[in-house]
Parts: sequence; C-alpha cells; structure tokens
Amino acid sequence: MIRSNWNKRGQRLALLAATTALLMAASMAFTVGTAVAGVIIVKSDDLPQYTPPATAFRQASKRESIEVVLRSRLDQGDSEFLKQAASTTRPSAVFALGSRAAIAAREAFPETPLVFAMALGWSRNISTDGATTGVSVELPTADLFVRFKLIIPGLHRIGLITSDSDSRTVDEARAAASELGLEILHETVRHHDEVAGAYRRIRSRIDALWMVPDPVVVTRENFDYLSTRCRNDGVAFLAFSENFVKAGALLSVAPSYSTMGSQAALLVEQLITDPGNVPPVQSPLGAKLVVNADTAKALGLDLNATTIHMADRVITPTREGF
Amino acid sequence: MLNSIFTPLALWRLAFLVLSFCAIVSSPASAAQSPQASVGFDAVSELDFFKVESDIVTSVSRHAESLWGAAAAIYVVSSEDIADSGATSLADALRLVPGLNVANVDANFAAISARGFNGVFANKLLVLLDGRPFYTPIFGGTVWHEWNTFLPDVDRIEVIRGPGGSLYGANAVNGVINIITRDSNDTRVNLARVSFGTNSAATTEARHGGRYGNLSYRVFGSWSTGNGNGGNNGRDLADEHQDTRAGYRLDWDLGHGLQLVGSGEFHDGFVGNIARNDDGSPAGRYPRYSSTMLSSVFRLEKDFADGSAAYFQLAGDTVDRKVPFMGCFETEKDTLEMEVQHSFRPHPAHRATWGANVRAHDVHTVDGLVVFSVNDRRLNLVGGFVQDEIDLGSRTRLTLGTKIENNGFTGTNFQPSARIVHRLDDDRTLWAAASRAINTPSYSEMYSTIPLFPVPSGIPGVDIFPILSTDGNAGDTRMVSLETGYRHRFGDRLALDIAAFYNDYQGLAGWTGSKTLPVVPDPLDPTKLIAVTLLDNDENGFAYGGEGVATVQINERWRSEFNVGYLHLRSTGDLLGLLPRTNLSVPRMRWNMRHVINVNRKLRIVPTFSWSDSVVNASLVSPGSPVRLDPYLRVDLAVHYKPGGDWPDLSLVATNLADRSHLEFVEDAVRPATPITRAFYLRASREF
Repeated sequence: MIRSNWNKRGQRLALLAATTALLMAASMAFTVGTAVAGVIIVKSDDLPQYTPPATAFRQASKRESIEVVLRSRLDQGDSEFLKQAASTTRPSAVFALGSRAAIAAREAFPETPLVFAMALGWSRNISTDGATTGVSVELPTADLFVRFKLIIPGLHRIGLITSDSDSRTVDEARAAASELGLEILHETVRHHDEVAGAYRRIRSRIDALWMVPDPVVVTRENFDYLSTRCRNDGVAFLAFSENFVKAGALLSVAPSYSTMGSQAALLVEQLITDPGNVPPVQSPLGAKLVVNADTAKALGLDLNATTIHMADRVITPTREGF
Repeated sequence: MLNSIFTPLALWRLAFLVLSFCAIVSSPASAAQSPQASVGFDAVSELDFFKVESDIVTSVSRHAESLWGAAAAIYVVSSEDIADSGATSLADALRLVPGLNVANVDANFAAISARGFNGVFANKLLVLLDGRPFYTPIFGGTVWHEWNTFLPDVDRIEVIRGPGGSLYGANAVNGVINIITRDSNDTRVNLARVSFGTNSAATTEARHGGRYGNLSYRVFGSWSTGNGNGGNNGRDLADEHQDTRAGYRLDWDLGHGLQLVGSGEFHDGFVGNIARNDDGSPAGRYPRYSSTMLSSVFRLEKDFADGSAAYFQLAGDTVDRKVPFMGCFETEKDTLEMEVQHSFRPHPAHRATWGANVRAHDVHTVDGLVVFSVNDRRLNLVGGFVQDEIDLGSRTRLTLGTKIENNGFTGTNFQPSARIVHRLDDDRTLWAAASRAINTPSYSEMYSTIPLFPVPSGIPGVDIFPILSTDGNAGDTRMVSLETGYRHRFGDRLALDIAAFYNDYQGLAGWTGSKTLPVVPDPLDPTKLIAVTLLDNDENGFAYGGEGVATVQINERWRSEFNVGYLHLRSTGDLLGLLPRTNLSVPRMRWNMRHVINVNRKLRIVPTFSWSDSVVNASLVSPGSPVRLDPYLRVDLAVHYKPGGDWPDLSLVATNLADRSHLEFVEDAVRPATPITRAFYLRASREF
C-alpha cells in the first residue's frame, strides 16, 4: 500500500518535472527567439493597450511571430536589447507597437520592413525612409468633427490645446473645421503644467474642448482638471478613448486597437511581397463612439433616440447615491 | 564607546544620509544612462500617456495623484474625505493627516502641530486659507475655532509636513496647511444643512450659488451652538460655544486668461472660559472668550499665452478678541497684505517662480493678567522669494529656492531649500530635501509679561511670585531640516508613502533662566518677593521621526487607509528647566486607520480608529512634576445614507465610542484640558 502510494507520488513528481522542463524550454525558446520567426512583434512596454493589436495581428497574419517587450534597462539600449533578444532570428518584418519600439526596431534592423502602430503623433518620432509604414492612432479630423456636430448641434467653437510640436494636428483641424462652419480656438503649451492656464484663456469663448492624444497635454492631473472644469463651465469635453468618457468626458470617437493590428498585418504582407512599393501610413479603419449620458445631462444636452442609436455605447447616468 | 556611536540618533542620521545619498546619486546619472533618454521625450511620454489612459478609471490614491511626484511630505485631505469623516471643524478634518498632532484641548480649542512643539499657542505651523494666512502675530500661531470655515465648500486641504519657509516665509517651520475652497463655478447649487447632537449641539448651514455671465459666486452662512463637553459627570467644564459665520466667494472670468477671485468671511462668537484657583487648578467659569473677525482677499490672476502665469493678491483682515483670563486681556489686529507672484519657463527644462509680499499688522492690546510693555505697534514685513524647478532628464527634478524676508523685530533672514525627486519608474518615487527655516518672534515674545502662581520662599509668610517677562530682544529660532521619502504603488490596489526627517533647532525661544533678574520685594506688597525671568533664545533641540501612509483598495466597495507617525523630540530645556525635555506635549507614536465602506449605493460606513501614545507636559499645579497623559484609543463612526429623490442625505456621526471620555491634551498654561466625551449627532443635508 505504502509502495503503491510512493509509486503514484513518484509518477506525479516525474510528470511535474517533465512539464516544468518543457515549460522552461518553451520559455527559453520564446525569450531568445530560437523559433523560426517571420515577424518580430516589438512592444514599447508591457501595456494592456498593446495586447489587442498584437493579438489581431497574429490572427490576421499567416506568418510565424515572436514577441519582444522593451523594458527599462540600465546596462544596454533598446536596440541592443532587441538585437540580443532576436539574435537567432532573421526577421522578414517587424511590427512595432509604440514609438519607442519603432525607433529601436529601425536601429536594430535597418534593412528590414517595419510597420508601426500605436505611435502617437508618429511623424514627430518615426522616419518613413526605407521600408517603413504604419497605422496612425489619430482618426481623420473631418470624420470626427462630423460626429461632434451630430451629437452637439449647437457646436460652433472648439477649443484645442496641443504641444508646440504638434502643428500638423492643428492645421488639419482648422481645415476640417472651416468645411463644417466650425471655428478652432487653439492654445499651445510647452509643458504639461501649462495646460490649466491654456484652458482658462479660452474657456469663456468655446462650446467644446477637444482633447487630442498629445502626450504633453494628457496627464492624469490635466484630465482631472479639464474634466471637472469643463463640466462646471458648461463646456463639452471631447475625448478620444472610452476610458476618458467613463471618467467624465462627454464623448469619445476612438479607433479600434484590434482593427489597427489587422491593418498592420496586411501592410506587413504587402511590404514583404513587394518591398519596393511602400504604402503610405494609413488612418485607422473604423471608430467607436461612446457617450457619457451623465455628463450630457449635466451640460443640458438632449440625447435623443438618434444619438443613442448612433453611439456604439452610452454610459448611463450613475444612479443616485454613492 | 560603541554605545555612544550606535545611539538611535546616530543610526538614524546614518540611515538618512545613506537614503539621501542614494536619492542624489541615482537621479541625474541613472536618467542619463536610461535607454529611454535616447528615444526622445515624446516616446517616453507616449508610454505615460497610454498608462494614463488605462489607469484613468481606477480609484486608489486618486486625489493624491498630482502630488505623487512632490519632493515633500505632502498629504491631501479631499472634500470627500472631509464629508466621509463627518468632521464638524477644521481640527477634526485634520485628524486624517499622518504625522499631524491634533488634540482637542476642550470642545473648542485645538492644539495642532506637525513634528512637535504642540500646544494651543503652537507657532511653528503656517496655516493659509485661499492663500491668506490665519497667522496672528500675538503669539505667532492660529486660533483654530475663529477660522472654522464653511466645510462643505472646502475643496481640499494640502498639508506639508516639514519646512516651507523658502516659499511661504517665516513660521512655516514644521509644516504648512493650505486650505483651498472650491471654485464658485463648482458650487452653483443651493445647500441647506442642519444637525443636532448631544450636549445641545446644533448647527444650521446654508449656501446659495449662482452665475451671471462669466461671474460665478456663492454666499454662505452658518450658526452653531453647543454645550461642548458640558454635563460631563455633572461638572461645568465651561467649554460651550456659539458661532455665527458668513462669507462669500466670487470667480470672475474676465477673458483671455484674466480672472478675478475674491473671497471673504465674517465670524462672531464666543467660547466658554474657565477660571483657575490660586494654585492653578481649574476652578470655575470666567466671562466668555469672545472674538469678531472679518477677512477678505482679492486675487487677480493672469495666464499668459507663453505658458507663464502671474497673480496679484490683496488681503486684509481685522480681528477683535477679548480673552477674560484672570483679568481681561484684549487684542485687536488689523492686517493688510499685498503679494505678487510670477512663474515662467526661461528654458524648457526650467520653471522659475518669483514673488514678493508686503504685510502690515496693526496690533493693539489691552492688559489683563498678561501685561504688554508695548500696547500699540505696527509690525511690517517685506519679503521675496525665487525658486527654480530644474528637470534633470525625464525622471528627475531638482528644486532650488530661497526666501528673503525682513521683519520689524529681527531684521533680514534667508530661508533656502533644495529638493530633489526622482521617479525610479512609473510606480516608485524617491525624494530628498534640505531646508533652512526661521521662526520669528511673536508680539508676546517681545513685549509680554506673565505672572505665574506663587511658590513658597522658605521664609514663613512670604511667597515668591515668579514672573516670565520679555525685554524686547527676542531672536529668531533657526531650524535646519533634512528629509527623505519614498512612494510606491503596487498595482491599482495598494499605495505606500513614507517619509523620514531630522530637524535641528537652534535658538528656541523660552525662559531657560539664563536671563534671570535678582529676586526683589514687590514694591506694592513687601510680603511678596518677585523673581523675574526674561525670555531668551538659549534653548536648542533636535527631532527625528517618520510618517507612513498605506492606502488599500480592498475591493470596489471598500477602501482603507492606515497611517502612522513617529517622533522623537528633545530639547535642552525650557521654563527654568521645569518642562520635560523629551517629546514635550507631543506623543512619540500615533496611528490612524480609516475604512470607507460602501455597503450599497445608498449606504456608506466610515469607521476611524486613532491611537495616540502618552504625552507629558509641565504641571501648573505642581511645577517640576510633569503631568502624563495616558495613551488613548479614539473610535469614531460615520454612517451616511443617501435615500435619493427629494429626500435629504442623512449622516449619523458618533465620536469617542471607545470610552465615555478621555483627555487628548495635558494641562496648558492658558487652557485647562477638559475630557472629550462621547458624542453623537445627526445631520440632514439637501442640495437644490
């Protein structure tokens, strides 16, 4: 009886050891990139936002892929780390998520086709020289403004705060606004702590504030300030991500991160099969409209049936209480 | 030998130096070596941006988010914290702050200080309301019950433990409390609140808010009364109160970044006053202590297109105070202050701020038991400061600054500081600071004379009457402070914030006996001998300690906060050496634990547990034999119910549930402490 138990225990231990060894081997293979990989997916960091496009990319692409996550390391730079992580691999293309990953990939593999996504204001950091293209995060401004007008019929003047390096966004916004009879009141900041002052300079003259994905402007502190102030000043706060709407913004028109991964897979295929024909950086396909009905109510906006039907999601008013 | 080397103080200093060294050496160097530095600012902030996007709907430590990178031991009490606690006074609201010593002397007077030197006349803590100081030059501190502002309109209370002299000037020695009221744009709704409680406590409060074009405003009024801890075991503790208060705030957007903010408050009221027997023990009732206060501040703010900002502020107040203390001691004070400040970026990596202020106090006193050698005087103060915040890479910021101030008593002084903060990563921050701060003499420390209770002379029938006096030559108390701190977020559910400090004090004002005049017969009564001791600055001291806060989001409905503070304070002695030299009037250890539990969307329960170590102070009844206050546990419970619809919100608040009554402070030279009793109140409030 005792021996039988020992045998069973021994078998279990052997099974456990074999499983552990297998997992370790798989893990090592994954880490050093011994697998024969067609595409390296490079993430700028271990952010949850990078998972949907990476997953969609893998599903849409027929090629083998390995994944490398850049992390803060003091002993070597990003490109060195990337080279080492993919030392046994000859990538046919790189899919970079974020500006940091794109820059590192271009340095590490200068001749390899590169497709990027999730890079805010990509033109500021990423050069499209060589076989480089990508999917921008920013939606076409004209499409956004049409949706803004549909939700807020009385919209005339839109406030826009950007960092001084983001002139392209402003030019596009002005062009799109003039087509729709809108006016852009633009303020420039050089540092995130200037955003509150920039808002105060325009708040009495605007119907809405459009928060673009500008990393200098969008900090936690600035969002909290702008969200509260807009609500109490009667200014519609227009964001670009569902999370910001959940946290108090009036609405967002945001790209689908998953769709961006699928788009990137098509671009990678195109670059590999025809390296001499580099397509331009694409706008993201599809967008999700999310409206916060609680904020709409506070602003006195009437969300009619058409609006609700148009929205992909309406965040309902919080019930009374805590 | 070894014992002398490895004293707790030596080890503490060593630990502090190591921590500070790590902070300093790791900051610029590691930032320079970071691979992210080569990527460029946009790529780094792009990651920050996505982290903001994913974290924006989480709740842990949200209110303190903007202060996560501050190079100071700072804590924010939010308006929600105040509402949750059920606090009815500023003092009660401040109980939530780690490391702050808050003790109710009786139902009205509070002793509040940071990092030591606590008392009703605590003078090393600067308190500001919307930028104007609560400061009274009579003793250099705050009379808390006179400034009990309208709590529903307080947006937040920012508390800096440690020196703030390089920005705020004299008397911001051990801390700064900045009470910021809500923008009137945020209170454009009417509010009515009534509460009733034990000991005949009743309060009515009302606010009206509105807007005309770009001008928003609110006015408020409140009236409260209560018998304090009266009726405790049938004794008359003479700590009743009545308070009438009214105020306003306006925010006028003049366009193009120009804004006018005005606020003001009127207070009139009285508190009970207790008499003492000849031996100093509490005896009975005196006429009530009454005060009237009117204050106002106007601030013109301008945000320039280049990102710079400036403001001009004009503040004034007038206070009339009658303190029937063994005779009637009255003070009047009129204050006018002008202040200008400008901040700009001379370079992308620098943010410079400079400012200047002029303050004039007109002080008038009427002698009672406390006699002043000068009864009317204008006290002028002129100061200026400059500060530069320097970004050393994307993760490190160095702040250098100094304040230069000239006061009518001790001339010009400098209060420099250097602070460095380094983000080890997105979840960990390390900071260190070195500062010098000044405590200038108060009016009382320059001109007052206070008789003490008689002691036997040894000659039958002849007593000695000690007199504490001043000669108009008091000097500054100087402090050098070293601080360090560390903040760490563990995901969305746990955040830690710890700080440690070492303060060195030189020239503490007191009556050490180094300026004692010969004992002489009283010219009016030869059977009395008079022993006069003059105030001096011969006392030195040091303090070290630490504070920590842990915020835990247990689940979606339950958030907890635990904070703890430790302090070791030692001085060379005061009041002729009669006072204890270690941890005088402050506990070594305090902790608070608060839970905010949303039972459902309508019911919230907030239990708070506070423990304070024992406290010692001098006894007026038997000088030389310090009195000791036993440790106490205080348990408060607030239950909030929001029925919704047109029904008012209800709150039931119970304080001191752990015992029927306890002392929170020991005998003070002026206010005998009275036991703080268990109390209940019910409050109904409605916005419309």
